[in-house]
Amino acid sequence: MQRRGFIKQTGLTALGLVAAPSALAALQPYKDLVIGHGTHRYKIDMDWGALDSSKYPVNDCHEMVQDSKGRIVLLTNHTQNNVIIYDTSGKLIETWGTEFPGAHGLTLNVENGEDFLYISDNARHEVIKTTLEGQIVQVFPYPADSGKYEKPEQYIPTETAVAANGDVYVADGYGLQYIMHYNAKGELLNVFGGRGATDAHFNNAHGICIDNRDANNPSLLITARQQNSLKRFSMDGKYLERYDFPGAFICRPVIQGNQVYLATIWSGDGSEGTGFVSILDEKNRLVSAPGGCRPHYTDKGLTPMYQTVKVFQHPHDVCVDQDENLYVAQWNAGKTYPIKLIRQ
Amino acid sequence: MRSVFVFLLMIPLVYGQQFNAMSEFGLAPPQLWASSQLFTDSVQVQLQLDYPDVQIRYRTDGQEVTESDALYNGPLTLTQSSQIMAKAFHPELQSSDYVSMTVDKIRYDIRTAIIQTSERPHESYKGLGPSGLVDLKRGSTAFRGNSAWMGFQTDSLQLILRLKSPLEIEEVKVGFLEDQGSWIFGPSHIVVFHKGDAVGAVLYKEAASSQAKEVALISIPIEKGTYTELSILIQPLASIPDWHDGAGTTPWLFLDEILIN
Repeated sequence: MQRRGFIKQTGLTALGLVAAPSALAALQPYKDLVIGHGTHRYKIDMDWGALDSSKYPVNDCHEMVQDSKGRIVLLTNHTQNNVIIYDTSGKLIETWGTEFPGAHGLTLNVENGEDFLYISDNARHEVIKTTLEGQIVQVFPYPADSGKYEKPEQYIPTETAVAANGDVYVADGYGLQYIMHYNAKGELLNVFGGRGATDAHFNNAHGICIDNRDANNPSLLITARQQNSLKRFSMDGKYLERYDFPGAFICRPVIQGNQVYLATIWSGDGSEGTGFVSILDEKNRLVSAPGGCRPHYTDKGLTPMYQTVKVFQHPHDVCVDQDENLYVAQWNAGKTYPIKLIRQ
Repeated sequence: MRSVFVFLLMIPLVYGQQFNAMSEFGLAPPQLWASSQLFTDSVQVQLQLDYPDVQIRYRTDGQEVTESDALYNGPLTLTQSSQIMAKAFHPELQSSDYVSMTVDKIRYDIRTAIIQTSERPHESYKGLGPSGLVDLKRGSTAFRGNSAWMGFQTDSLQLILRLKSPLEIEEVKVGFLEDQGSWIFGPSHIVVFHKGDAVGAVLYKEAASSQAKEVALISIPIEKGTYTELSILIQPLASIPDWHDGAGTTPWLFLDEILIN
């Protein structure tokens, strides 16, 4: 999307229309697009994080988090600058990282007052913990001692979640679909999940997070992207329940307040370029779908979802800032930078 | 006076740069459902795009849809083979790409026929087994996890079709998928036999050159006659052509349906 060029073009059109009977018609092109439903509606800034791609290139923009200083941290699998840090206005602050060819999952955890990043690397077949400055402090290697894998190539971690006690959960979303449960030292405590079609198994266990909305009873939310499903497990790996979102290929759950935000990479029959963003309420029901159709529940559950307006190609992650604006990182979207959605 | 007016118009222009305007985005194509892509009497077609102020317009003759074409305002009942084309329009957003689907009227419902395949489909693309080839259900281009498709990697495939009772037949149709990006090619040659004699054949010359992603149907005219058993020999391309990344390897052959008329 070449927005600036377009504005210039429509600007000329608008001037041309001065002589036209209706001056109002000339104003119409500037009606801002608002996407989403109900209480979660957004205006769009397609150019939010755009940078000079000859200096700060991206391939896939996989995931984003906001750090304790309020900065937006983007992870891309371009090894010239795996990590790009912006302020919330989209201004570049700094970049680092050249050794994460398969940079995919990005989780931020505050430990003793300091921010740490957990990077799931598809190509290195391991998870790397770093400081916000890029210093590597710990590696969670291929879990040979799990007994589930024959070689590192089978293990393709996509996401991590860190519990209040420091335990680390890793989802092997592109590998054999197991969830690894480590303690903070990196000792493997438990393995659960695995590939399969039943409730307690996964097809593309792509994202994982800790659900602390019930403060006394934390649990894990894990996406089964190909199953269009979000599954809840106890912290010790017992399947509890699932929420189905037919037609929504959800990437990872991100919780802010009472809502769950999920980038939805494809929709409908899974065709290319059909993504949108899914927002769930405190009951885990889809209530707003920016870029998608209005969520509608019947006694059979959610009516199948599909894209309605072509804002996104392949949303891969949503970051929610302190003002509840969203930043959408996209996979396979022409090496474009993240899009900002401004809460209305 | 005029320059003042121009200046006033510039204000929303500058202010508007913070967010993206409706006119910069397009609608997604409408959703399109048919009660069945194959039918003997009639078929019901539904279109939907749940977005305020959208108008869906359509044609049934495969021609490009314009703003002057028929406005969709409820399910359509079609009684003839049709190529439905539909597009969504909006006063402020750009119109959508078109969505298209072919529905074919067929003479015979042969869901009771028995069909056998000479080769086993690949473990990942077993479809519903051979009976899925006569279930009157077509597949879609999203072939992964779509049970309509049987996927084969073979240099030749023979299908034996046994009808429950004799039927007058002059045409056999074979439904296949073309998606060269996924290494799936159409058949190059199909011959229909009856009791060992060839009764019809067709060459699909475009199999090697086509770069489509579509659910296709090829017609094989056969000697008009009354048949209860036919043998259909399908020959895929011997190897993936030179222009393709997979040059020299065995292409995939994906089948979803056998029809007779």
